[in-house]
Amino acid sequence: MIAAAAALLLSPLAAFPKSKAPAQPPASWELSLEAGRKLSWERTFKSQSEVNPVRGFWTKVIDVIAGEPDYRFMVRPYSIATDSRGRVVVTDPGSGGVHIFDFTEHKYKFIQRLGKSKNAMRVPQCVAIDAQDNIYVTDSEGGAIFVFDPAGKFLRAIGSLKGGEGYFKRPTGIAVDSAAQRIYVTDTLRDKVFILDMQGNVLQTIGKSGDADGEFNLPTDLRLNGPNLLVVDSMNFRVQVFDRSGNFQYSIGTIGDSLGAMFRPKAVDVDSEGHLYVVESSWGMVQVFDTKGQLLYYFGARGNGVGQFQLPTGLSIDHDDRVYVVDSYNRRVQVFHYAGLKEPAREGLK
Amino acid sequence: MVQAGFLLLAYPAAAQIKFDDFRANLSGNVSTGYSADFGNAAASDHNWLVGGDANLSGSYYTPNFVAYDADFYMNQSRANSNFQSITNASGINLNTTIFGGSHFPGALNYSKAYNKEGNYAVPGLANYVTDGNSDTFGVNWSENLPGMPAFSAGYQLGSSQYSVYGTNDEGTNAFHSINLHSGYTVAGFNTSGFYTEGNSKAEIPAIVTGEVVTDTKSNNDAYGFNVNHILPWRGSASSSFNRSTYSSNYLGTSTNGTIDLLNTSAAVHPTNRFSLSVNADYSDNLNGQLIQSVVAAGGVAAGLNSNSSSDSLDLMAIGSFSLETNLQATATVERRTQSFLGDDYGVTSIGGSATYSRKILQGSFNASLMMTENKADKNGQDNLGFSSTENYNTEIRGWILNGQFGYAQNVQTLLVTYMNSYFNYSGNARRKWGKIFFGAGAGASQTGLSSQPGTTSSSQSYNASLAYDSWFTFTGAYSKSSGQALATGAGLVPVPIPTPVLPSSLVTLYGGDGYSFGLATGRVKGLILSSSYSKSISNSASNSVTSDNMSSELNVLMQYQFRKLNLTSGYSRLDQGFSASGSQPQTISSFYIGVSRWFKFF
Repeated sequence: MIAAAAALLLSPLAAFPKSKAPAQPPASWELSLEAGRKLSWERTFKSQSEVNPVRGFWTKVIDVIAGEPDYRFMVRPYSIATDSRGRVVVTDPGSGGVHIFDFTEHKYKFIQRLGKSKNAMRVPQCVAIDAQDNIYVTDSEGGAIFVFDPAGKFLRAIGSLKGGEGYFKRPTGIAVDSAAQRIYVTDTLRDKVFILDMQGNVLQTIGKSGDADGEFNLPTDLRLNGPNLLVVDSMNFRVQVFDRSGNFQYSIGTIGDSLGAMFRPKAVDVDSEGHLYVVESSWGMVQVFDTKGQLLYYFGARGNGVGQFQLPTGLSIDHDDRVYVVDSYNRRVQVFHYAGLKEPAREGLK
Repeated sequence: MVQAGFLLLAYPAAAQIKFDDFRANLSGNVSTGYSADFGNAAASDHNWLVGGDANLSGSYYTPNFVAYDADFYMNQSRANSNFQSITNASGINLNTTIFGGSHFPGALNYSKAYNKEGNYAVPGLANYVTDGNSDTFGVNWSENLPGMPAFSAGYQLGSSQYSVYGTNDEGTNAFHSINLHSGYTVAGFNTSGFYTEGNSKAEIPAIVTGEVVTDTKSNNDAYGFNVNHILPWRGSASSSFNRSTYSSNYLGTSTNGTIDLLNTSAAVHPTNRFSLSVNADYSDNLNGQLIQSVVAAGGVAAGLNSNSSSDSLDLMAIGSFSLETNLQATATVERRTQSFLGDDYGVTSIGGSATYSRKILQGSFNASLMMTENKADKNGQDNLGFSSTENYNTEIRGWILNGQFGYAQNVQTLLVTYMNSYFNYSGNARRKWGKIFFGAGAGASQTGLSSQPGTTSSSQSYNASLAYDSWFTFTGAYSKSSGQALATGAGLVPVPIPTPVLPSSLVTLYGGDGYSFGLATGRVKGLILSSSYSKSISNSASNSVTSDNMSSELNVLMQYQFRKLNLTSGYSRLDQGFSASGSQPQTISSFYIGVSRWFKFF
């Protein structure tokens, strides 16, 4: 396993040299990894128009006469999640809403609750999806969590207090455990992770301010993976792993400005082989670690070409190992496909 | 024509133009439709109209080198767009910046309008509607090299011609001005100098002056110097000298003069809570200052005595002390002496003021109070000056409330022999109940010279709005106004100096009231229906000519947007009349139905 990890580490570093001035990127690329593994770039999308790119004859006639529709596009996308139907849900604090891209059914929906007299959603920050494909969105400014059904209809707000105040100081990362009926929320300014029941009652909190194991300094994104809860502890420059009851397991990452270190970690997710993908925002890349914190490989560089990023912020890996990276400043999402070993190791993080 | 219009609408969008270092973007609306105009003062006509608007913007090399922005419009009116003209106006607005990112930035602007609706201003009431052409041109350039004297120069030129609906009167305005400014810091002294030269010419419509068309010309030149230096205790001292010359010509009668103004001041802040400042102003021609105020406002000053010598001296000291973070107090001592119309006047004022703020009932309250004892050199002219302002805003049970009140008695004017008194108040409230929004406001003001009957100007205004989601928005307003004004080429403007100084022939009395309603709905996606009606009835009196005036407007607009295509239909009607004109009130109506298509050409 260690040898495999080392081999994984060696090959891509040569394939993706870190360059300060990004060269003209290729139209697409593929990264060959150890033992026949591959990471290939699949596509990029940034607006509603890409949900249904093929337009019929009469649609084109109407386009000429009346002009193309005013498609919605991402302004400052931040977080991303995928549901069981393959739909991609992206929060966009820049436009004050949430985009739902359904590339299979060629449908698009935009959820917005700005300016509502009751339960207004001001800054949709992070998103999670439960087993029924309900959508959970944290409002980092409003201090609440908004729940929508799969069609985007507002169901309820959690933590929304009287007078427009929110229970949370700055809720950011969110994850939902449908089986246990639990919601995990990061409150960045409180340096805590809250565990809630589905009605929003606080069952438990994890962590406090500090830099020891199990303590946080401005935690942001979090993910559930198998029995574990992964928390991006951004200003301690690490990712901490807990069990679902909040007991500390281990952490990876140290501060630094070289490969393998963390400087501005923003988001985390895990592929089918248990590798941790950590978005490194300021360097415009994604670093992939094993569970011992050993860097396996990385991809990306600062720029606006294919496979390049400007302040990437969110990341999600679906069940087919498609890696969705929110390329925030380029106002787009880039999709990669990781072709790993056939036997999944998704539950084997320990 | 019809086919040409639809061909234009189907013109496909092209890509952005980028040729070497030249970049250009062009977007805009192309419209075509059926239009009809009719009224009682002109023959009715109808035709198929092609119009639109466009914006061309871009840069050469970088936006910091040369950047430009041009707006074009053709045949735009209230009936076929949101353009605020009852007529089919056309024109261009052009703005260019050159070397914007360098030490030598410059700017050029030019605008020209044809057949465009304008206003002849009436204080506090709906303005008279005019129709005319105008053009303006301006160029500005400056130099800001580090360590070198800064310099800026500007030149402006403009003219307009208009006719007032409902009369046979026409008016014109023309002006040009030059301004130069320079500043330099040497040995801790901040020095600056300026030169300005400007002249204007106006023909004022007879309807407000009682004359045949009144022809006025005026010229103002000035230059000056200023120097200031930092003092200990976080203080500064400054001195300035300004010399200005003016000339005014009214129906062949000329007035001219020269004014020298000297100012020196100093201020120190020995502690965070205490500051002290002293100020001295001297003018060698108080008479000229009065005339210049009138000329600067756009009025005429014929008949004012400009030959007799006059001067004024104003010495003032102010001490300020911060008692608490929310309570500040000041004490003032002032001595003003003036020589005017062969008499000497003087007044010594001792005063104090306080400003206070605090939270009351979850709201914010601010107040200021000032009292001044004015002791005149001449017996029987002593008085007590007083002024006060209060405002309060809060939110109570969902109501957002704001109120303001101001009152003043015996506030000094440019002449020590005249004191001003006024009051004003305003308030507004708004609230939302779910999808229902309601707002209302009211305000009033009155100002006049103390103990001088017949110098009062007053106004009142009330407004309300009610909306239910996107179903409808209803607005209503009422205003009432009366007072004394100067007739200028641009309209009636408040008299800038005590009116008894002005010959009565130069003062226009006005009064009247007006109301307006508006109703709009945007319930159906893409569909906007709006209508508005306003009516104003007023009277004016000048040179023994009295006129009863009426102006009303009705506008109805329907717009349906599908993507970048708009179906527009509108109706506008204007009725305006003046009894003194000898003509019957003019009615002009226009109707339009057509389509427009927005393009991003490149």
